[in-house]
Amino acid sequence: MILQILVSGLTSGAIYALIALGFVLIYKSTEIVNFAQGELVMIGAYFALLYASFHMPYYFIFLFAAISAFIVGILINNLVCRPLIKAQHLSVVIATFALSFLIRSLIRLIWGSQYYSFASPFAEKTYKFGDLVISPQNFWITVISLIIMLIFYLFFKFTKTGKSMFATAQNQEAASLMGISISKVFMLIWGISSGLAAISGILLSPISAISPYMGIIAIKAFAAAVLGGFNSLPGAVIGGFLLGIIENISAIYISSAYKDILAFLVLIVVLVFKPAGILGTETIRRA
Amino acid sequence: MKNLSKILLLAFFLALLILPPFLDAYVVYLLNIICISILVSTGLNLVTGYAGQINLGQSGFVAIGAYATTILMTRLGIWFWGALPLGAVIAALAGFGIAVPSLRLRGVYLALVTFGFAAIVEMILVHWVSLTRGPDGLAVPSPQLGSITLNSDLKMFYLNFSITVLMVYIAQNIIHSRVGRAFVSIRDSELAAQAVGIDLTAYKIIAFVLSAFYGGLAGGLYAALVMFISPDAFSVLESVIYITMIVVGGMGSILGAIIGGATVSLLPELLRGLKEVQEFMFGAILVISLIFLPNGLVGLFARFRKAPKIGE
Repeated sequence: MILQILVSGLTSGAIYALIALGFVLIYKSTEIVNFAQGELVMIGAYFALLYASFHMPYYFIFLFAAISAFIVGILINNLVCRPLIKAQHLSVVIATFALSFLIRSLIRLIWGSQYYSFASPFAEKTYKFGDLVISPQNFWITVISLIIMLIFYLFFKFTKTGKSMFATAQNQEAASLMGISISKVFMLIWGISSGLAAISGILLSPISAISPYMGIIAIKAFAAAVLGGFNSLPGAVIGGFLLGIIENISAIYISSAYKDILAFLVLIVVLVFKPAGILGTETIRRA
Repeated sequence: MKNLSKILLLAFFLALLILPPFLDAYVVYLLNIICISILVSTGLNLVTGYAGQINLGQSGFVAIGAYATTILMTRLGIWFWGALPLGAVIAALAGFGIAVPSLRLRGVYLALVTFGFAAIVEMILVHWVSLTRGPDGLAVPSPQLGSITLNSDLKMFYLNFSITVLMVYIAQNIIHSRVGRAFVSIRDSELAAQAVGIDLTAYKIIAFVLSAFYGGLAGGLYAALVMFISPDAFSVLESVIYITMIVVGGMGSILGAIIGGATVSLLPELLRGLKEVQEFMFGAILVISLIFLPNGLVGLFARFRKAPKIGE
């Protein structure tokens, strides 16, 4: 029983982790908390819906949707964040809020408010390992997320671009002195984290309906990122999985009605008692 | 010159007092909404614009004020004139509760806690059905003033207008007092503020409590105006709209909060028509004004006034 809960927690955790990675990536390097991250998740799902209407194979849909979202991310950076680079911090945060408004209403103008579903590319048969039953959906969501995270890790560890992004996140001034183009890095970061959000949206779409309100999930991913440590990439992954598991446990042992509040409780408890999260570094000085 | 602006202000107030009975009912309703918005944004401006503590949870305080006032009236049978300030005090207590984490947190993290607070309040309103009747909402009895029942937008306007003027006046005085100067110094540099002996803890708490009180008061008035409250009137999104008010108007300026409160609350009305188009325009206007009006509308006026002087 407990194993079953853990496994289903891992599936939602994988999605949270992917979105949380996007949050942390942007925050770590640009110090912006992107409140439009949930809308980027939604955009991914709608791009998938769009490409699916051309009867493409699933991996093409997946690829094209991710690339489209990547471009959207770059556009956001160039059109909104770059002009605000010298503005007050609060302005940028509000700008991302405004963006979420913009994107959501744009989607509603094009597709309306109704719910769409997206045919699952995976087999119907459930996998059984002993007592453990896993639906192929959940299995593949978890596996694909893990693969993406691995690619992500390798990219940061071994490619020059990845390393320059990492360097920028650590110390902008030093990075730019080493000849790294900060504005290019910012652009890439927005692109990548938007792509990550879109991928989680695509993965999510077979198990939850596609609607203009699916971006709500980002709030939980956000709590996950805080739990893991808002400036730590591995923290985002751990926080994501942990929140997924906590949520599933509490849904069974307490009540599923409070599942949504739980994410916020986690958020506040972590921020009040250990603002750095599990793996984050303490950047908040006592006043 | 100074006399002229005083006369203009007086004329403006007089116009607002005399004109409403002759105006369209819808316009009077809008005037009410503007008053309430100004009340909220003035409070928010104290904590965010002056003390520099980001508060994304103002909708939570407004919600608490509205529900507390209503429930005190309907369940405990308290007179509106008692329930309204009590509701605001309850909201202020919640502000005290939020101020405690704010002592450790700053910037984005504080934004998160306050945002989470507003979201939790909203969810409690939905789920605590025995008290709030959940999504079904609560009917709000109209306030009684002697033998008059304040049951129309017009009658409510005079109440809202006078409370708003009073509270803005109080805010203005707070800003020019010891407390207000402490707020500004905390915003500009916590270290420097501490060095001159300002108690950061105390003043941050005061800022939050004040902001919550203004929000709660506005919530109670809003409830009495619309006579029906439900959780969707107090969604987290409203917090964003309140922040927008002080940003568009100009942060750290009383006039800014007033202008921002008035324009932003009118915006959805001016952009009537399809709801999607309205939201789209709202988002677009917000982004554009952030990029092109970094100091808000007030900053724009100030630029015009200051620019042409020669020899400076």
